[in-house]
Amino acid sequence: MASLLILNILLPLAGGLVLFLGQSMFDRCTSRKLALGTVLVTFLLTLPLFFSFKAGELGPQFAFGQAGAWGFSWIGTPDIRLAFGLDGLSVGLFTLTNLLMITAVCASWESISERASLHFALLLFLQSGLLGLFASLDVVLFYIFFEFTLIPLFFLVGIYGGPERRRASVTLFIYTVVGGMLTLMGVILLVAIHAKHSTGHQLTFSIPELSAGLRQLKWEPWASESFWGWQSLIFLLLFAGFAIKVPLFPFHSWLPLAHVEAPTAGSILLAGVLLKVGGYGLLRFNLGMTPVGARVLFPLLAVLAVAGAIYGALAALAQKDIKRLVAYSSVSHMGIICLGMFALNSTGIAGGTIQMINHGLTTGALFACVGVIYERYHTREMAAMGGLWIRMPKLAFLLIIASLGSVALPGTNGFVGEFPILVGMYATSPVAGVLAGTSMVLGAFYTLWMLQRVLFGPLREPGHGHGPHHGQADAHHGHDSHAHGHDDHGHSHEVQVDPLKWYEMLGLTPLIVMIFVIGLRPAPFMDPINPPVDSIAAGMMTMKTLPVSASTVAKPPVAPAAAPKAH
Amino acid sequence: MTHYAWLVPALPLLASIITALIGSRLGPRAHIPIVVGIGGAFLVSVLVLLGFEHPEKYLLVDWIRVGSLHVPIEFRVDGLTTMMLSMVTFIATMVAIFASGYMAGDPGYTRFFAVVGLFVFSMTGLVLSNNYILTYGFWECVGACSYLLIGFWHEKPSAAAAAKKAFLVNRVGDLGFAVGLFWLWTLVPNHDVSYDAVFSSLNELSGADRLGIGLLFFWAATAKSAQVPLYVWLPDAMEGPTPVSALIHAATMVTAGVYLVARSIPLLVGLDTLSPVVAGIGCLTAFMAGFYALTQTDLKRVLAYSTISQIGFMFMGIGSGYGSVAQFAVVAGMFHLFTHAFFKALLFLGSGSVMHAMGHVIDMRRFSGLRHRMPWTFRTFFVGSLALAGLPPLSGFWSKDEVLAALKVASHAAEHDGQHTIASLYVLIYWVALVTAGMTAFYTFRAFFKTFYGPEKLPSPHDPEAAGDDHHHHGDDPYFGKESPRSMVLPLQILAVAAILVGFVFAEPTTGWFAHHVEHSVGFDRLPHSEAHGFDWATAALGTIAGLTGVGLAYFLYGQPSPLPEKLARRLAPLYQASLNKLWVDEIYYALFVAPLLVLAQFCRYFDTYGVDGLVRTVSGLPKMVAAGALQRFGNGVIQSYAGVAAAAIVGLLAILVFT
Amino acid sequence: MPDNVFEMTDLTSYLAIGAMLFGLGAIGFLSRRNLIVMFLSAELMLQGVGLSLVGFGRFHGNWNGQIMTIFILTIAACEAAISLALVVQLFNRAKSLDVSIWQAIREPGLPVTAEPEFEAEPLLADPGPESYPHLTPAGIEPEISLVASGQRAD
Repeated sequence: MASLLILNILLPLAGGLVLFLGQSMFDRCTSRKLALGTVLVTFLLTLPLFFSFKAGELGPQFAFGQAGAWGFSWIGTPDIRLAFGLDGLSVGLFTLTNLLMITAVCASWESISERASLHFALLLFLQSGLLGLFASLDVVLFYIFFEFTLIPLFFLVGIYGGPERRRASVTLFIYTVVGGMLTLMGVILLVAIHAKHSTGHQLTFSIPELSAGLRQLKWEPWASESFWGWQSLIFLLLFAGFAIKVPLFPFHSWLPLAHVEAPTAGSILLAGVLLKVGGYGLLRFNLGMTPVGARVLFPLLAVLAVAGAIYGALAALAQKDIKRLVAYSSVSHMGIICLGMFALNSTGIAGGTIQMINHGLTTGALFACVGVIYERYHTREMAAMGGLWIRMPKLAFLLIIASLGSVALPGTNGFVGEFPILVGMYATSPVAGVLAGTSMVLGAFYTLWMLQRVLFGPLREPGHGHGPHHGQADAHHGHDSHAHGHDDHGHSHEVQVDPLKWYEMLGLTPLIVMIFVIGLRPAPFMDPINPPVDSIAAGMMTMKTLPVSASTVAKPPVAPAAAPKAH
Repeated sequence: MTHYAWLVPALPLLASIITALIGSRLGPRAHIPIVVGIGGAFLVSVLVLLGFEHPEKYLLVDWIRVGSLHVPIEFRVDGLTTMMLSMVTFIATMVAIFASGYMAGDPGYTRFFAVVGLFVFSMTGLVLSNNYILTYGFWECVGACSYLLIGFWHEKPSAAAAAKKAFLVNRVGDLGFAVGLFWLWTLVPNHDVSYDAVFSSLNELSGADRLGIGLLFFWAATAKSAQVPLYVWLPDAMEGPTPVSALIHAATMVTAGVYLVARSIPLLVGLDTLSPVVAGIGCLTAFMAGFYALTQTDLKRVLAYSTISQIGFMFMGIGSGYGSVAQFAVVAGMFHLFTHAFFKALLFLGSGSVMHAMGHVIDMRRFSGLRHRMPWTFRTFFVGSLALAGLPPLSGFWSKDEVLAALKVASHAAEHDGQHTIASLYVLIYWVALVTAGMTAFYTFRAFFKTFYGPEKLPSPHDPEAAGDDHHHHGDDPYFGKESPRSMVLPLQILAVAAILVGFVFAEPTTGWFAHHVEHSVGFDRLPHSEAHGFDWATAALGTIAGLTGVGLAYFLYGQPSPLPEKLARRLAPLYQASLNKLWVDEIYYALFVAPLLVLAQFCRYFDTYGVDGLVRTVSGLPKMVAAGALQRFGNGVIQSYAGVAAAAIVGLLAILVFT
Repeated sequence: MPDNVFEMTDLTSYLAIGAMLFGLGAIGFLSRRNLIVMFLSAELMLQGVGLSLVGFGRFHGNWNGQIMTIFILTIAACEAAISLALVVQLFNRAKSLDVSIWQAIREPGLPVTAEPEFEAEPLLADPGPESYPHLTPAGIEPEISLVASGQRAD
């Protein structure tokens, strides 16, 4: 299994290299088939990993070597290791990456006509980087992959993007690199503090060892609850990189730009997986290694997350470009996810973790749907279109389900994540919980309004003359006048718009299926998450000396029990 | 028998999945799986109802287990559940049969039935679920089904807008439900929000907590059950196909709010401020909606407002649970919910039958005198109208009287406790309710007379009200101006029989079956009750008089062509306009809530471009400015100058090293 | 290990020579505009440093300075190859070895430092398939170069 994991990471890299080196040899058809084959095989190889994952275990699985010294020695002294493995926090994201790659490749099936081989090579490099990132058990390795993912993305946006792609890619790059530098400083500090003050004075770069060691570090200033304590300082340093990646409210301005300019595949991966890198980092480093910092900075973090959730939703409400709307909805949803992570209890954190996967699925599906529309009409202006349900009923079906998942309807995956997040946050801070709850209403508002403008109403297609096609369409006086226009749907419309092609269905169907699978039967996806999250929450509780908010103290049952539960 | 209750939601779900998968192959027979599935669910419900002895709960499967949040899928079978299940599945079966005729030929035939099946699944699940979070889940699901069905004719912009509005207003209510749920969740032991656990741990909750949670739940109920202030979505929801209006927006889903409050009554009992609030809101809604219904010209809107008004009655019933009245009150409210479902579904389906014959015209100004053309629709509609007007011995009479009686005893109970304000409030509500009962009879029979009496008239495209939305080629429509087909008339007949009988069979003074049944619900044994409360003949007489007055007035004004209504409208112009324009509530809400929100959204949009991004650009510009100001001059392109600077720097560094 | 004693005065003379070489190189680098001469000056500076290192090595009685110098020589060789290749490229573009020609590569908005009248005349390319850089003439031009160019002109 351990070699399967490594193979999983290397396979896309190999495929990418073949496509990259053979740019002059492969035409569009060959390269896209090669890419699709690679991602499909990679996905199939992930399935044994996912299904043989032992949910109850805390430590990394599928790793070479012994506990503590996972993987192979790489640099020697200092002991930086090539260590890969999956635990409950990463296995879901790992699988999600491989699933979304299928969608991404399918979304660029026809839409990329120039230099397709390079495009697919970059996609595969990105996949490999993301897989390596989620599987890294070594901070240095993690950081290398963290920065590495930026390179293919930079070129994806910069070469294949829209008219303002240069600015978008440079903004994206600078934002992430600057944040990444601060994160690196934080990581170095963590390693140094651990080496200096842990009982064995062990210089380790291993993520499991670091998080376990830092949680029980016997060093007075480390457990300091002061705002100027070590933990809050390091928390902020780590936070800089991850908050930009997430992106949290004031650091989000690169995201809409990047999304609007990126090609569809880039958007799917950006929203679906790359934002999750930020969330994953927050979980792994900020919460896992500096839990006191999270608690000390709670007011700041809660304000940022709530502000992001509401502000993103409001900004999405005012958008006219459908892709921009979905981009701002990502800002809002990622705010909610961070809210769960900052909830300081296992319910919220676990909700945030599963919600990362859910958001990846729904937003990936939404962006893929937007890509379908864009490929046909070459516009994303909602004012220019309407009634696309009539033209593309299958798309309408998929888009509506993705939207309902996005508004967290029970039975879809969104509910399974969003409800625990809000519950967890409410338990810690009722005000933040209620305020974040309003984004439920706002989220429904912009999502359904988007549906109304794009799918509902009389058919209006961009560039083919405007105005209603049915006489009855604009005349309405509240009567239950039956839509008799049904009979003449296909009437006299010269423009032939393609129905959904097989590759578009191939890209979208798994996501839609997963939206329901996770929504109805979340247990297989939740069970791996619970043990590591419980351990993170327990880390927060053991170091706890100060109450977080009055309500948790006044009512003892509020603080969710950190005791391990039988699953 | 009760452990088969899970079949009730399962069968419609299965039917819905089958329809969704192979419906397109079934073509015009796509309704069969749904009719069979819902009919089967009805049979199971009846068996469960008959086999019911004492409350039970059945754990099916774990659903969510996240941190401390644990949501099992657990079904509860008790008095409230069994009654609701039988009612919901019965109405749904009737509606499904009706719809197989009504929707025939629609391109979305399959989609319609698939979503209806999904709705019945969600609604029965809502009724069956044994914990608040599961209830919340189904609560939102029925809302989503409602969204899909209101927007069923998606080409109609008005339908799309109505669907969105319904979902959003309901979301505003759901937020209250969710927050109440969070509140409850943090307080109850082990975070167990199943009904029995919550009701048995009431001493963990302070009165203020319970009041807050109760108000939040009631807030959710006002959205789902279309009460003031969140009723605005229901009239617009009539954009959906008429069977949907009958099933979802009259009989079942809109009463979910009442069900929720009734279900939570053990949690809320003894809160002497909450009950009058519930009753007051119900009364205000009932009166306002009745007032709007007086002047509407759209048959379905009249019925929609009457639904809102009748749900107001249900809340008045539940809200009269002051002190020892609690149990009597909740039974009264639920009984009105029960009987209302039958006669309101009947009326809506009747109006659907009219629409079917009128080429989907529903404006009462465009047709009249249909009693000879559509004899069965006429007769069944008459029965429904009588029941809605609350005339004995039809079902509406019994339940409405129980609500009024509950209000009366509540005022006595409050007086007895020395709460004079509350007592006089209940008295006021009682009299307003009586007036509203009269108004109900009036507007119902106004619609009835306008539709079925007077000179015979069929809609034509040349009507002044036609306004271009008349696309029916009457020649093509075999049913234009004729009685509806068998599949539509049969449900009307069955429902008419039910509307006559259910009150008599179940009511307090005759069998008292409903009350005995519902009393066996979880937590209801804790409700204070007293044997003294029961059917009140004086109130019944007053209610009947009010109803007869309304009917008589309607006959006087609309029984035959008369210039009187016109004159009256002119004489009372301000009132008439206020009623016709529904007190401009929609416009006021738009100006107060939606418009500011949109302005705020625009502000955020520009703030993002110029504020946040501007700040970012400023920050990222700082190094550039420093470089341009101080360092740029060194980059003059002369290599010697570079080397000179480097040499000078080294000399400087050396100097520092040497001299310090 | 060197056997004889290396006095402080010996070191001083080594260092003096090294400093002279370094200073000459620095002056040459800063004052000349010919690319090749500048390069030679830079090499001169390097050798000055190398000489000092060798001196220090002797003085301390170990091989460190020698080793370092050998490293420097090796790297200087590589560097020489690269920089001469670059010089050839630059010459081929500008047909001149004058470094001030390249001062256009500077931050925008700054004035020209070297006045145009002081700029060397660009050398005319020798006819033929390729041309080669010329050192600025110093002293008597060898006859043979004329003959060689004349032969090539044929």
